Amino acid sequence: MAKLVGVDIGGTNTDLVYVDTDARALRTAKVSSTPANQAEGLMNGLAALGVPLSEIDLIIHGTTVATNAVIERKGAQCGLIATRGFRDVLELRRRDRPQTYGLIGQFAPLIERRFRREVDERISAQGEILTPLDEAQVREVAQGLAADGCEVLVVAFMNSYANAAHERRAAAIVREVWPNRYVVASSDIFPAVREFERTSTAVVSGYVQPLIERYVSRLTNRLAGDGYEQELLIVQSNGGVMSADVSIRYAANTILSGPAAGVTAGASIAQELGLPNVVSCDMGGTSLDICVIRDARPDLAQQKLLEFGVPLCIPMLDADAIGAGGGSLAHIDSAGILQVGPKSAGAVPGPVSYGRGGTIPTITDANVALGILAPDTGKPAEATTVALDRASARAAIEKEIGNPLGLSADAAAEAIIKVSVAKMGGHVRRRLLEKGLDPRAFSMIAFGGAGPLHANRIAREVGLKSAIIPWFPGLTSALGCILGQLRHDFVRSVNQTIASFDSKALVSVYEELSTEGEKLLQEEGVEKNEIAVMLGADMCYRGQTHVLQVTFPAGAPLNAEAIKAAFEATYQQRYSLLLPDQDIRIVNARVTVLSTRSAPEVGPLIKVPEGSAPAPSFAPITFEGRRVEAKVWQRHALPRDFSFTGPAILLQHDSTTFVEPGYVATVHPTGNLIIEAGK
Amino acid sequence: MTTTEQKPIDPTTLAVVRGAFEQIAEEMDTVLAASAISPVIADAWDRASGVFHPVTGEVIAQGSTGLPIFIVVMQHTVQEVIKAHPPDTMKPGDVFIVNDPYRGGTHVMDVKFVRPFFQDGKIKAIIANTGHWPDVGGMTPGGFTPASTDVYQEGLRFPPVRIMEEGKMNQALLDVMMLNMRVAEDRYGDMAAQLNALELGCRRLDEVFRQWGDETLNRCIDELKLRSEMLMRNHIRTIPPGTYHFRDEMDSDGVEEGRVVIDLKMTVEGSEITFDLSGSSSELRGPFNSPISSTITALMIGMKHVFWDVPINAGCFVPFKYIIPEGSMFNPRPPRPVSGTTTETAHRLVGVTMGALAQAIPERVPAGFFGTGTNVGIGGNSPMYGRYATIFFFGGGYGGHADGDGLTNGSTTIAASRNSSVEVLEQTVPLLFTRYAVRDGSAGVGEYRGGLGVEIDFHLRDGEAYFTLVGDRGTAGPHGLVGGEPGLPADHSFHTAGKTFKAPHLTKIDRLYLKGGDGCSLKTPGGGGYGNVEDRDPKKRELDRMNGYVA
Repeated sequence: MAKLVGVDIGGTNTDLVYVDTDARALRTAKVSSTPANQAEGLMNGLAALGVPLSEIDLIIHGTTVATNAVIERKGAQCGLIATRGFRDVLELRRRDRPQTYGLIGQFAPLIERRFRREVDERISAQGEILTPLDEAQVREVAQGLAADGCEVLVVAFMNSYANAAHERRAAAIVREVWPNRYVVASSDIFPAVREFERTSTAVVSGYVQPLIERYVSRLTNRLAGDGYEQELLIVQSNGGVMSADVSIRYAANTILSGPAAGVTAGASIAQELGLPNVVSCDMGGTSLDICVIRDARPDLAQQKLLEFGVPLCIPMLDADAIGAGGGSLAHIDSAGILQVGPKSAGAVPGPVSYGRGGTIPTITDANVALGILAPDTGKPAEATTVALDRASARAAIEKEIGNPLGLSADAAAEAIIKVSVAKMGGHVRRRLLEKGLDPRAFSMIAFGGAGPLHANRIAREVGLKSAIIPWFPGLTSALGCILGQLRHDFVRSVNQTIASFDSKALVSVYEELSTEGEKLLQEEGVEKNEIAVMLGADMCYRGQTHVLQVTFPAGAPLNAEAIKAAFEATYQQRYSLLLPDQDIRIVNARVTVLSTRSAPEVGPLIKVPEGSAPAPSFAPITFEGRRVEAKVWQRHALPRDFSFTGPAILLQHDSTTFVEPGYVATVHPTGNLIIEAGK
Repeated sequence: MTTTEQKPIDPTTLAVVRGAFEQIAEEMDTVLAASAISPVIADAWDRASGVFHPVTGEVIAQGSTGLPIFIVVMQHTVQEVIKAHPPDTMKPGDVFIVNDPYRGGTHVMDVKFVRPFFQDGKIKAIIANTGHWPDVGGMTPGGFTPASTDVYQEGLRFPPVRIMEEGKMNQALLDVMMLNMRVAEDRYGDMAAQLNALELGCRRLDEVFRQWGDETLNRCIDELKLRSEMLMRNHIRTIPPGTYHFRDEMDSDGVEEGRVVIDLKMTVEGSEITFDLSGSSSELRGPFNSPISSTITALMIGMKHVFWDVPINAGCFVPFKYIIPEGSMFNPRPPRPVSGTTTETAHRLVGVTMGALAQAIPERVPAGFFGTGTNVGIGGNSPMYGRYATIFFFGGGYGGHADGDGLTNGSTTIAASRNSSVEVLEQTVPLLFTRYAVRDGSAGVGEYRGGLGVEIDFHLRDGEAYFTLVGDRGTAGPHGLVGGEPGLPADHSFHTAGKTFKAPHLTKIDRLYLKGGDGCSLKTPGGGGYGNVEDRDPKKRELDRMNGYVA
């Protein structure tokens, strides 16, 4: 493969990266997103790249179509067939409420009750058939739901994780009468215990499937119409990629497609720099997404709450967002204490300094007020592309924050940054501690529009080893699309214990899942000898509810001793105290298959200048209550191995990097900037 | 008196320090839930963690996902530990255990661990957590019984004693504990989880105290307390002064048939409120007495559900006075039984508090919520499952409010805990559920209707078992507000040996003997309606009809 394009579609911008590995060429483009039809922005972006489509070998794409459909409740009309007595599982959730205090939360399930129907059937927790499936009822109910305008049909029966026979049979009957192929059985999507989570996962999957199919086929047609004849790959929530065809079958796997690509890029940078422990920090306008990456492998999560009452249980990168971005609003709460976020100014009206009508100061405005964003070097050519209005930012900060707290505009701006950095840092630290990890052993890879501006501050707050700023911080996600491997994750409920270990049954589950995965990869054009298989399990002590994800060492035997040892090693790292007298449960078997084809090396395409650094400009900034002169450079003018001490500001097309006084930044030969505490 | 001039505390530091303490409490909550054995802690989050003042025991911060019922209780617990063991007798590595409902507690199943935090040889803070253990001994597996007549029957009680002395386990105490609890090895796992969380808390406090220094932190703590108090006072000033009276009745005390009266007079004067519960029933023979700590917490939760932006620390409790006579069901004397307090009595007192508030400020308070824990305890022996014991519980509807309909199947208001999934229950115990559904027509109608209650049918598959139900709200449904109708009351029936019947105490039944095929049908209340039903949006009415929510 030689000519690749990665496309990341965000809420505001569509970013593209073009890589020609043979000609060692790299191009980028940034165009406005077109939320109504994302394909529009994508086509505009391809045009902006200026590469004829017929010359491109592969386009890889991260999309937010599925996420937006759930959040905006714009998915397909689904119907549900449930076990008699259980059609309301989706609506009852797990008996909870959105906020701990205040009893005014509301909830609307993805399928309204009138489209949820029941049939006679029942299977026990042990998998025995207690009530046979009434096939005539299935047919009748399905026909009714089709007549009522449902496009997708989801079958979710009780205990189908223990025995999927009824669900499979019901799905087969539905397919006979259903007008399209949108029929989903819960045990096909997530064959694990807990009816609410399994049903919800199946429903989310059905809810987004037609949208993904329509989007992907519309996009494929437009690309073909413009001369593109190669394959389109879609980024999955697990950081891997899949073919457009497969993405239609596994539509729910695209839910975290957008953020996943950035994490993949982070993992690749960690590998390039030989860093075993990093946290990727993707900070844009509204949120900060973080993910822990160990040995160049991002952590996976098995469940995420897409919003209150809508869990999704598929393997996803364990990326975790909080409402802290450049646009996060500062305000004084009712106790008279300064708070920043989680509300954001969004694209409209945006920060005060953008001059689009915003009046409430944001984190961006605080940086503008302090002279760090759009630094005043006296040379207008060095300003960022957007003209930022420092005077109005300062006025708003003084009025909204400074006056109520008795602080000057400068002090109030620094307070906004301090409070938000403490919050972001707290978030990073908590994620590490939850996993039993020591922050001092971790570096941060900071990208997104606002990441490089705060990376140094967050790294100091948390006590991280260093902060890494990629060469193209604003295009990291687009680049990550190119770096993902074809990959699929499978899960199957096994429910064994170490004390009553059944090696034969377990081995056959792993074999079955591995075969299924290899088949899928081969369908996507991967040769058998290019496939790696990784085995693992969700395990816990008998009686525990929360499972630990355990990865079995490569080549380890599937016997009780080895599996127990792998569990105890993971448990000890996370919680310290083992429970030696407690039996151990293997709840789910997990198999990951991935293509071992090497990803294109982007490193050699980045042309870091050689020689000596140009003389910096200087701009006044406020830092810790003092006015200091910061050095200002164009980022891409700095030569490899060049080292300098903060305070310094690096400007580039879509991002600004800030280096604090007392910190040393070095341009790594790969183009990444490494910021560390000075001696 | 001359004092050294103190600059006012800088607002940035104040904001950051508040975040740091809350963060520590939440980290302890996270670790505790993740490693506990008890599904009630791990899955239902029936636990809480906090940071407390080393001298006064006042709460400095509690985690946001901790259970509301512990907001005042934990402070009282820590204060009881301090009373029994003055801080100058505490040593680094000491951990105290306590669960006595009469020493800053709820019921005996809530087991608290309290640990002083030392730095450079000085005690600088106290941290504590509580976790609901599924069993601490006593007459009924799982601890919840409607029939206990004294607290001795409800389980093993710990006064504040050291479970760890300078880092060393008190093996003698541990041996006594393990001998007196059902499924004791699981309890060891829960204890390990609680101790692990405290260990983490100490590590984090160490960093925070080193970063900021004692003086700054102590000034922040004082200031934060003052801020919470001011904020609560400002809210109270928005309530028109006067006395507001609300009265509710419980079905029975579980032992004697006959209504139990909850009677609250809430007097608002300026920025202070006096809660007078002296019109309520005297202490009860059955277990629905509420220890004083639970009583005060329930009143506070009622306030907090309306004024939810007040940060929890000792300051927000200051503007309140109480008239709760000793010997009342809300201030019982030992050894009165108390195990029903968290499932029913405290939950209902929250509703009564909000009911009184609604008379003053109906635009800011929802109509009545379902108000019952509907707690099932079952233990038995099965050819398929062996010996087993477990508890589970159900939700109901919240009240409609000025901004919309009530939530269907909400969590208990004194907790934010989730319930177990039916499939997990069917894996654990030999029960077969035949229905778990929205209870049609259970919501009180109104411009904004209540949320719906739940309908659950299940029976024993094989073997024999004892079944206990602790519930309430079987006589009158949750109240409507400003013209809205009340929700339906609970309606439970039982079937054994082919006969269907209701319980004499309606919503409570003690150790009903079940054999294969025997079981019950439970229906929990819907929430009260808000506003006149004539004013309901016709589109919503049509949707309710199509979805079968209303008759």
